[in-house]
Amino acid sequence: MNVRTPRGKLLRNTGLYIAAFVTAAFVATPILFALLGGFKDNQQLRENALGLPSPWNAEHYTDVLTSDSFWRQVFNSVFIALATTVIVVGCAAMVAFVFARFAFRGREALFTLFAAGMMFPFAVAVLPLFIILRTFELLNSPLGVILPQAAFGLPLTIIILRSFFRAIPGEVEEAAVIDGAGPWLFFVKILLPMARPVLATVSVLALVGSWNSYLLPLVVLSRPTWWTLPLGVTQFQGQYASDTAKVLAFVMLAMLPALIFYAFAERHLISGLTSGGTKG
Amino acid sequence: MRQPLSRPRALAAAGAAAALALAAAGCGDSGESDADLVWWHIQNEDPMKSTWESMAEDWAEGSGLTTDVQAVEVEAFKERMGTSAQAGELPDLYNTWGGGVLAEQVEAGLVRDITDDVDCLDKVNPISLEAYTIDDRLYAVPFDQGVVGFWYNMDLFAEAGVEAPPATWDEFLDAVAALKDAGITPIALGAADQWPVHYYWTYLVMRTVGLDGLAEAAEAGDFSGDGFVQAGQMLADLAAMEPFQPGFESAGYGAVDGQAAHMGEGIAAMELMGQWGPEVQRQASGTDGPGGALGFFPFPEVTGGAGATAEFLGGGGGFAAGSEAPDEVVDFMCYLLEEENQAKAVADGNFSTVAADPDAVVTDPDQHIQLVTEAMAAATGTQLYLDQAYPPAIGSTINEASEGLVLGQLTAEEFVAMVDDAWAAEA
Amino acid sequence: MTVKEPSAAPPGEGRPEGRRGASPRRRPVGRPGAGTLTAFIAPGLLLFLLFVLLPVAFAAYVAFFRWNGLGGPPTDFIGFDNFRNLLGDDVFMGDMWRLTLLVAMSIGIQLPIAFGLAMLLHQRFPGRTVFRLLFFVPYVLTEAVTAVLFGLIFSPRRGFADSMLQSIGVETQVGWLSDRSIVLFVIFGILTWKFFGFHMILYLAGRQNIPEELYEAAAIDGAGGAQMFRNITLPLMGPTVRITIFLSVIGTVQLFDLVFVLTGGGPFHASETLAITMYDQGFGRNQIGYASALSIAMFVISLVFALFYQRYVLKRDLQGSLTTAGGGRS
Repeated sequence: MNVRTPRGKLLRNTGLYIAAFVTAAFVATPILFALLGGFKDNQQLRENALGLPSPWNAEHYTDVLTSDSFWRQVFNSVFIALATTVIVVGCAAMVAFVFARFAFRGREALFTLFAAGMMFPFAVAVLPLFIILRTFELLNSPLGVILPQAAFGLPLTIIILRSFFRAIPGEVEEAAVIDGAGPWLFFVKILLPMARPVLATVSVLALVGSWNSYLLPLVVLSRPTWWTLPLGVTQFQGQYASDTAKVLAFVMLAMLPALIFYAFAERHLISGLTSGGTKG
Repeated sequence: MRQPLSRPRALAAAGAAAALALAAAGCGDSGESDADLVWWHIQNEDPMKSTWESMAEDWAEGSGLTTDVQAVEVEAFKERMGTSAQAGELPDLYNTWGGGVLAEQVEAGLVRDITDDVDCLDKVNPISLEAYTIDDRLYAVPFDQGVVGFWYNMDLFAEAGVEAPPATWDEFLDAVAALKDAGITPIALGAADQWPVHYYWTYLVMRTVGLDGLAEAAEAGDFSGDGFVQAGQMLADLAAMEPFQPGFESAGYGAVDGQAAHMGEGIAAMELMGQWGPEVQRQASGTDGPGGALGFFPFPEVTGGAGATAEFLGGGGGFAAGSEAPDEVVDFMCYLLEEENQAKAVADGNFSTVAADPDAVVTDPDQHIQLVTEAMAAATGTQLYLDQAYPPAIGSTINEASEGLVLGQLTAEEFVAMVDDAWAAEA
Repeated sequence: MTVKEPSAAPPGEGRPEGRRGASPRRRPVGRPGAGTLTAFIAPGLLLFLLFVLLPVAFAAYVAFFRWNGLGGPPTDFIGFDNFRNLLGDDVFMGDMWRLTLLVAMSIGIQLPIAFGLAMLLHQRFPGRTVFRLLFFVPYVLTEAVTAVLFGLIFSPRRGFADSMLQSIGVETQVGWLSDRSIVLFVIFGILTWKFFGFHMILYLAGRQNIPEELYEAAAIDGAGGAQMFRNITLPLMGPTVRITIFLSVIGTVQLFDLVFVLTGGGPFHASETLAITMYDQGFGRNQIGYASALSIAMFVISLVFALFYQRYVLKRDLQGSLTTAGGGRS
């Protein structure tokens, strides 16, 4: 295709836009269905599935927004995600620091052990994990979700952080030693602040992973006290089988936090996901 | 960097993760409900949801204990009971259907033996205790009992020219054909939930080999007899007529566009369901249901079979107590059985009463429940739902195989082989 | 994600001195003793041992018993029976077949679509950023929530999908989730909706790393668009493509949330996955021993695939490091 003539350019651009808009419609339609569906009542949903709501009916959204259980689930999801992130990033940073800056016997073996952890699909461990959590009496407790999630997040986080820590020039370290800093001080006061961008990246990955997690909370949290949003949504669907519009409103509101978060943390999320996928 | 911070502070910062873990652990303790009595039931729709709730509140006031009442949708409930039993702790009070599932929980030491503590059994019909009695010990009190039969829409039957409810399987098949010819969906079925399908197979077995034959086969763990294969074949033949609503393969019982909704909206002509059928029809469809047009007939007999129409598949609901439950749980059970409370529950929940003296409890009987009560009064024998009567591994296999049979994925012989394998593995 | 010595700094953050790969000086800060090192490693290692290695080891142990998980520890040792039964289990073998099918469709359809869109979005045109942001949205949504939404879309009577078809004049009802012969394809469609953006972003990043000078030089030599694509783009995108295939396979092996919520694996196992079978056996039927054997089978499948892939496919890209997956799915 000759793109140098105006006509070729026009053709090319038209093709581009058609493909882009078709894909955009494919992506956006289900989400718009949820958004608009929440504003309809059930009769409208059946008779006017495709059109705009008429009249607009905000009742389903306000019902969900004023219910205690929704906010409790939001809180639980946020709490579990934050706690997971703090633990996994904290532990991984310490381990990665040692792996990156010190030589000692068994280092490579230990690193390989952690790295091999990425081979374990989470679903494989869920059943024995359940039995182990039962033994530790961590079932129905947020810790029963947080600790395994953090543990399974360690390998990736350690690998990303280690390579970043290794790339920090030795001069920085020497200067710190001259100032009398020990390893703890160097780690906390110098290394971590320098690593802020990559810490943000791994934190975002951990947050998103925890926020989306379903299987582990499903088996660990059998009582609603600590239910997270994904559990809440599926339960809500069972409970309001006859009220599709209300379920759509709940689904939309449950998706909203992720969408808002994505809008703000898009850069970190994408850089985290692509940091290894390409040989950049 | 000229003024290095003190080492302890650095340590404290590095240990932040550990501190947070501890904080979370603190929260973890409150993750277990701190109420004295945790109660799971499956009446997750009003009015019954509120009725249970307020009974718990009233009782809590008098007893000085706190309660935590959780209404859980039935499919989610089964799932959570599965993980809770695995977790080794059941709620202080929970819904049960008795039978082999309860027995397995009892065997694992998870259920409280209430035989010697509960002193209000004079208020219930002794027959309703059978499903919860294991080796002569009682583990639950009932609140509902009934039988499974065909709920049918008389208007739709009339439209198809079917005058009387079918009494034999052949008449039944004729009725299905007539309904189909009239452009009416003959049967609503939620095959994705599996258990609604197992009613068909169970009933056909009850009609071919009879209750005694079924009991003997279960005792022996051997379902390979002719009657079992024949029953499977009859169900497969029914399915081959395509009598179910479009999309029944992925439909749930109470879910969106599910079995109950099809009945409630008057789209399908009949469903094979228990005493809760009419209530769920209304709830799942968000309508008033077929109302007076909804009739009930027992599962037809199979010509030449050992069973009779007066033998019913049935069961009900009861409440069992977890082994960790406080002693007061027995008081609460009895509180629920007080006649005044039974009356409220029967009225709001559309239950079929378990009272020793029904007249004391039921003042204004629901028209549909009345049909179930009459059927029960005439019953000559009952069989508990097989997915509850047998250990979970067997019950699940029967449910699964029933689905496979109706979807044309299993033959009647394969069905029987699957169940026998499960029996063998259990032995 | 797969990582081996990446520049961990996000693009545009300015990577630290570009010393990647250079061996950092081994001049330990303050020469820490073994105690300090242990203190740094201990929390992470403990967490890892307790919640990752122990469960896997435990599953491997329980897999040799018949055990319903209730009461005391397992006692009924049955050797390899659970594994033997797996091989004769139609559901398990069906899971394997469906896994193969999904992987084949991912590689044959989903990844090429993502690749094409990445090439498209690499062009400069107004609105490109908006499209890129939008295409990635499904990936950030929770799988379980997505499944509830699609359950309503494909619902048999008031479903949105049927209404769409009606609006363009197609009156037949499609058994989206109820027809055993198409349910897996519907699920694949949803997986594509959910995950093509993820792969697209990876391809986009890979494409952006190809120096434009190569294309300019080729243009001077008179190469056409197709030639450039074949001789520059494709070969240089190789590593990224191999990684996405890897992530796609590992993700598909673990597939659970979406299918479990949407169909529960039905109708009659038509959409069942390994993880769903395991869940059903373990929590639905209390067959903990058998379910553990299934877990181990899943583990072995992932491991064998990962090792094989590392050894023969990724070797060139990664020089043999252990790497893998976390975020990606089919």
